[in-house]
Amino acid sequence: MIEFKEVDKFYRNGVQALKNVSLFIDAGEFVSIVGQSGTGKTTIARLIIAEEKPSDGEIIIGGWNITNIKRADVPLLRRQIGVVFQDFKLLPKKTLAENVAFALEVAGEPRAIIKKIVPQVLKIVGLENKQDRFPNEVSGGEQQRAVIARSLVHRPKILLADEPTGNLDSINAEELMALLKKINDLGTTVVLVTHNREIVNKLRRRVIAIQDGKIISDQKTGKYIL
Amino acid sequence: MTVTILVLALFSVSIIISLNSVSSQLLTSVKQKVDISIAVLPDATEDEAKALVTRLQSLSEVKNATYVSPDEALEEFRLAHQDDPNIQETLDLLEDNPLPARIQVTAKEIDSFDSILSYLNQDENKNIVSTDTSEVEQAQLVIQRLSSLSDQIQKVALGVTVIFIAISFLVVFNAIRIAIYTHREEIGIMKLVGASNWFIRTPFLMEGILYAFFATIITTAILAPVLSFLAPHLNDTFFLSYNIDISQFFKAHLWALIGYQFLGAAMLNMASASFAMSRYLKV
Repeated sequence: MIEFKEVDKFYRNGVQALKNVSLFIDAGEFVSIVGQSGTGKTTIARLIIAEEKPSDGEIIIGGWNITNIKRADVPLLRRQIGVVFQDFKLLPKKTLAENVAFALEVAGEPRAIIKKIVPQVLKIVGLENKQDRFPNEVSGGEQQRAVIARSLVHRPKILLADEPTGNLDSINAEELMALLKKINDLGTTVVLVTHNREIVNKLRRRVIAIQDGKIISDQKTGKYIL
Repeated sequence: MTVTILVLALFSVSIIISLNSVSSQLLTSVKQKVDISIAVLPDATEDEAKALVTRLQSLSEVKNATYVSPDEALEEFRLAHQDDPNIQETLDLLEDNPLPARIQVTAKEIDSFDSILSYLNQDENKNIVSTDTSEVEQAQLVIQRLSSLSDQIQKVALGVTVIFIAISFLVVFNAIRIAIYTHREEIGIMKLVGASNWFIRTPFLMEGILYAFFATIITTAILAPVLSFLAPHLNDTFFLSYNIDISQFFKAHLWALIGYQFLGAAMLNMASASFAMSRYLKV
């Protein structure tokens, strides 16, 4: 599903964020990519959604070599990958339902389809009773769940979560993890990028550890050992 | 602010284009209206002069040729100076008519006069009329000066147009850049959820087109009364003999002017918006 082949990434200032990174994530897996700040975790996330291009090596997502993906094709890739970031990224002037619907509107989906899908995904994340609230009227955990709902509208094969619990308290963080596990159980590949040791250790799923831009360990049921 | 700059640009360009077009019309008109008087020599008879007129009318370069007898010439002279009592008194005192007969020749083009004068210099004609070329040379000088003025207007028009296009480009570029910055959060989310590049770009292109639309409307609304106000003064001062009315020109070409203004402004704005998007939007 996600394959990195000897990927290097240099930024413009000459900093090498990734050094010869090779990894393979199969369909349906739940993988945590862990490491301290500045080790290259977010770079991996950006490469997966083609926000950055590798300086060397290849990246293949669902059989599609996106190493030199054209700008016009990036939106198509991103509709296949649900993305959840630490800072929520909800539009403050739209309700939760409108925020979720937005992802379908920009893809040109008809109104009828949008009306059908939005309540479904909000139900999956447990927000069916709060769909008419605005982001500032719900908790951080609920906002993050709305973001997850938005990321699910295109039925993506991959859900990429980059530090999703960064702005949440421990209870909300646990609830969010439960939701991600539920989504994974439904068949979606989940890639969790985090430096939250507690969450990773509780998950007991595959853990890839990164340090100084290199993979230093890859364990099937790993722990955050850095 | 953006629309104001565009209005100024379109207004200036429209005025200059109108003036340029009118000066070209004027030049053409002047070239067509130039005629000369050729004095009939004292020894030539009226029949000889009239026969020459017939021969001149058969020339392809000649639009019209008329014989004016000495009496007719005197009558015309009196009429032209009817408000000058000194001239009238002087004419009354003279026993003989001082004015010779003449042949009034209107050429189809100012450039034809050289060949007409060559014809008049032929043996059968040179004993009938005086081939003094000073009047032709004067007329040609007038044409030359008008031509030169027209060329200068065109150069100024081009220079001013280029400057205003550059200013408008920069102003629209800045406006779009600010719009992109203001909506950066929304744009970021659009990119994240897979909005197509054209979905993201289109609102900014439409913004450019809207600027062009409103600028065109406002420019036309200002230009019409301004030209209506100026037209009588310009017409009476410069265009009286040539039947050119700048206000009429504007009305006759109104839709074409509006169309060209809108098209030009829209294309400029879209180019500027595209440039801003390529730099700041990265889609």
